[in-house]
Amino acid sequence: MAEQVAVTVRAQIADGRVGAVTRLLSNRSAGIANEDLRLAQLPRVHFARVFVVESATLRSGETIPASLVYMADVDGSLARHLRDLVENAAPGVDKLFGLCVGYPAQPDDARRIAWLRSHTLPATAYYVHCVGRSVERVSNETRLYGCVQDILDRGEIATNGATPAQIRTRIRDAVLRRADFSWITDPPHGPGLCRRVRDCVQLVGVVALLLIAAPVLVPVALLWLVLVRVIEQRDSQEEGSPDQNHVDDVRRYEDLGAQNPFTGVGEIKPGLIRLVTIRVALAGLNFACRHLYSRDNLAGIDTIHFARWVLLDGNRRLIFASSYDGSLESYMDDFISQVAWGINLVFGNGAGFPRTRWLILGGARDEIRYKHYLRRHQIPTRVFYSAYPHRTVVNHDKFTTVHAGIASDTADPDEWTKLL
Amino acid sequence: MSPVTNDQLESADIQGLLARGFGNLPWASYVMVHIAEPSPARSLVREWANRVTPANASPLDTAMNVALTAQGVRALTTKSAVDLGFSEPYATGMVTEYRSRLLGDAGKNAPAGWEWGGPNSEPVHLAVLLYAASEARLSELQKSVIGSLATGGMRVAKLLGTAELTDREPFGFHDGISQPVIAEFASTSREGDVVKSGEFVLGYVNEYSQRTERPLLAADSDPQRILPHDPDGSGAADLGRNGSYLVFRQLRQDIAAFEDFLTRSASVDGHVDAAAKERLAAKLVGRWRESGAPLTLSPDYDDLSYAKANRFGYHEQDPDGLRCPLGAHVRRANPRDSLPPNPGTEESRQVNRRHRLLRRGRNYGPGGTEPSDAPRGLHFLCLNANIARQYEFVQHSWVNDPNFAGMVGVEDPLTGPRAGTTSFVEPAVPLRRRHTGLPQFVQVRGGAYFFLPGIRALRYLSSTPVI
Repeated sequence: MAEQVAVTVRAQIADGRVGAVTRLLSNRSAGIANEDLRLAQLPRVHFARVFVVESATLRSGETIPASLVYMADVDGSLARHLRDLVENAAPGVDKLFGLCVGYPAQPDDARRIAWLRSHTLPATAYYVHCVGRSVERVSNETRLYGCVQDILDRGEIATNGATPAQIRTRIRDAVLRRADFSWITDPPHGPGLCRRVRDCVQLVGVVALLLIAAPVLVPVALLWLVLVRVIEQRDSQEEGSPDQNHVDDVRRYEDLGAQNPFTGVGEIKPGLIRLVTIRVALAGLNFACRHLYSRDNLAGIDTIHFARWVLLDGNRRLIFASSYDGSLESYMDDFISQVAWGINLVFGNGAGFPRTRWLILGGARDEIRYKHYLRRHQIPTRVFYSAYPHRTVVNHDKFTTVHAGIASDTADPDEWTKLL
Repeated sequence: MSPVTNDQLESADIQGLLARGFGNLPWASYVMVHIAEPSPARSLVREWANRVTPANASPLDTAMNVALTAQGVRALTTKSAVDLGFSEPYATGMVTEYRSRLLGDAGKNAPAGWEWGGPNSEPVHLAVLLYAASEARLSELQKSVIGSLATGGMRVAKLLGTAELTDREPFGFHDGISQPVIAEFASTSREGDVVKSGEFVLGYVNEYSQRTERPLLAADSDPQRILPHDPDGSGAADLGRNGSYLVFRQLRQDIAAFEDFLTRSASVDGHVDAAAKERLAAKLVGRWRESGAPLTLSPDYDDLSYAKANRFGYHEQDPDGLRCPLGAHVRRANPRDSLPPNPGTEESRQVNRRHRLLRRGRNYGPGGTEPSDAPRGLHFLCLNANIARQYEFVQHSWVNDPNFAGMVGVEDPLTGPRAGTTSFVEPAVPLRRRHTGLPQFVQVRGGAYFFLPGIRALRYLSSTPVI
């Protein structure tokens, strides 16, 4: 079963080309995904996006030039995806990245792949809603659900007086009579054995290390917290509402389907304490995503398909990118009411974030300041591709449960028929 | 930001609509006003500020409230609502490309076809809401208000009449049974969900224990000291305090189409099963049409002992929607205890309390469900302090969301916009029943976001602008 990986390619835009790139992305938004990069033809791509990170002057005075970023959530591996992308859409790749510094003047596939590869960034933390559920499986299970609905709507099977168990058997038989559904008897697999073993070793190893180191770690962590509390007093927070033109620009790409992209960038507060805090927080988050939140939610939130945190520019900035269901307003409210502490732990290290106390208190709970902060730091996701734009993660989880119940009789038929 | 304790509502400075729907004044009309000349308009609005019915009065004869659109604020003050610090949805208005998408105002609901508030009608600056004990008193009041407009450099952009007040909306269901309750305004006999005043009145503490965003002005913008001060002690003049945002939507209801759909669905070989028809009507809405009894408590028949009952949760008694379907209109508009995280708990109810609306709508057109050529519908009015988190959230993420509560592509059966028709799922054991071919029953005919200012704020907005 394929694992999901986060692909991030970031390249500096050539001098004087920023306007051209931005115009290209905004005018051809869907055209880039569908015609230039031909993403729908790549059966392993869940989501993809292309955006521009504007040039910025950091607090140190250093100016970071504008860059073009391509991100994708794919089944398999980074190498495989870059090869697929280039082999399937070389002209599109040239068109997009040809505006970047150092792109090969006479590209062939090997050079393109090598160049893209040399511009990739690792995700510091990565969340996958359901590890191992490939695009192919999502699409099959969606088709299965539709097929079951169709069978019921056409009255293809007798249901009067039937028990739920009988209904399930009849549905299964009816589905199997149709072409292309032989796979349904094969239950949905979780992550492969390889990954499970690796996860297990990692989990045991890390927990053991933490236990051994606890006598040292606990006092250090407490001392650390006090240090953070001291520097928190000097933090400044951004005030006021975000610029209306910026809000309008960002929203041009929002609420077009069931899902939305969130892309945001921010500078990390100065100093070693903040740097270490965010690195530890992201490592912890990545660990939790892998071991705790790999099945069907992120700390209780069940609207996020994928999310990644990418440190860049020598760990001085962070990009956060997610694909989530529903509107930004509901997304932000979910975070405030359910995981404000977690948001604070990571984003509280960002310059201008609403003031936190003791690392996890305050911060995102300051509703309006937090909502304005997110909007202000949002980047217009001018190109956004989804392999399944009309379905939510909760929908997909339901389809998987329907599949599992058909594949094996162990699931309670009373509960199963309720899913229909 | 540390939690702040709520202070006493200044009900003398709050317009009456926040405290009551003027249920004892069954006649009402809404005068949508266009400002042609700001200077005389300011004088007249200042006069109105002295006549506006405050929340601490219980009028027996007539009542009047006044609200402004963002364009109205600009016309009176020469300043933009964005610059003054009003929240973004209000300041940019109900009719923007983005907001139309968010609210489902496309196709038949598109603002281009609206009777008022859209791009093809005269801009609305003010809404004067009039209420009276009798038709004759309303007519006098309306005549005097409209008659005075000319001297105020204003004219009627649209006059919206209402039907005599009843407790039923035009499809025949009881309306307004479940309302959030502001503790300070509640009469003791009322049951309901008590919600902090800051969810509805600007400048007070809300369900996040904060005072939400509102226009706070530099002290020197208010040299005459008309406005209240920011209660947090910033020294700012608080233009928002004691005000609220009024969402106004004119919703035309196609009663013939609704009855026809019910009749068709409940017919077998040309014979209409009247009980099945009422049952389906109840399933679409979530309450029985005759008594208002909720399906959650009275699932099989209209049990009058539960008429208008409102003390129930969905998760507790009906997590799968076997009684009240997950997609039923009232379950979408107010999911009560069924939201993540931890449905059925106080945590879930707390999430729900951040998305409540104080509804103040009235019907228009002839009463009853008999065929008529005259348009019928609901002037939907609701009050909230944060349009994005309350009205727009409820409309977009609950009522209009085809994937609400884990459903797959099922729109609101009653009010949802449709590209074509939609289906409705009635969960049942052992199998759901699916009804197909639901046409669009409700069409948006007009709308705008208004600010219902505190009375001092109304006086300030109509005073000579400070440059």
